[in-house]
Amino acid sequence: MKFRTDKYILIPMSMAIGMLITGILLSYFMPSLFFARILIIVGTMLSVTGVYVATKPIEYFMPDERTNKNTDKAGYHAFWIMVNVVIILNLIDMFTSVSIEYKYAGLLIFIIGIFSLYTLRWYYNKKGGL
Amino acid sequence: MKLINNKRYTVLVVLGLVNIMIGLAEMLKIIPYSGTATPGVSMMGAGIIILIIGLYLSRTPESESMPDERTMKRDMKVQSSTFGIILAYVTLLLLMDVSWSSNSINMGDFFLIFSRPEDMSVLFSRYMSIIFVAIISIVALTFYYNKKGDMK
Repeated sequence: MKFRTDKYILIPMSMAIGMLITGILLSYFMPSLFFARILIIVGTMLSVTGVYVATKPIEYFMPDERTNKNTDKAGYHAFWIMVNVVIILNLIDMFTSVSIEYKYAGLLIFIIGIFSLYTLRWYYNKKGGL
Repeated sequence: MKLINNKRYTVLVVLGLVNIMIGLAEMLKIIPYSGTATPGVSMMGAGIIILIIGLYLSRTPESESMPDERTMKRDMKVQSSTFGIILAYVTLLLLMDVSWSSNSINMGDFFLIFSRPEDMSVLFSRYMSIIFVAIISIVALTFYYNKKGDMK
């Protein structure tokens, strides 16, 4: 297996390893482990992704025009779904006695956004004829 | 001159009128509510804005109001980029909320809007700030892509 060693691999990989090392150091020096854990998890994920990307040729990741159009259309609809969710949550929070804490609602908005983006992208890919 | 040239947008006129009527009904206490803010005034304001937009659009001919291919492509690109911005902003707010509630960092009064939302009333709640960011991003990106041209 051949690994690419251009700047598109080396710079993100060094950042990922830097995050990992910072996370490990922070876990020893900071009383709260919150940021250390996040840095370690993100650093590990980025390192694994970097190793995967380094094994593929650069042309493998170049999106063609159809994929770009699909992503734009899916992002457009996912944006409106997410905005509608935010507006509904805001209306419930403002005009009813139910108070929705952002701590819980934020995760819901994030999951709905990501889920709708990937579902719609899959759907437009299947459907074709954009 | 005909009053309505474009039937597509008469739905906006109806929506505006319904909004104004609900707002009036709430202000006259026909509809009860149990929240902290008064929805009547804002509903009437929104209704008037929607009514004006609806009247303007329904009076323009259908051939003029239809967006061309370039505008559609631009809007799609703008709103899919705004989706990314909003997703990042939601994540940032979430991380700030979680970290403040766990007391791992204390930014004091630096980010007053986010650290003490009760001081800034309803206008700067987190949900409203997301909508503000979305509107500003859409306006800025539309201007940028309009200037840039060459939509691919």
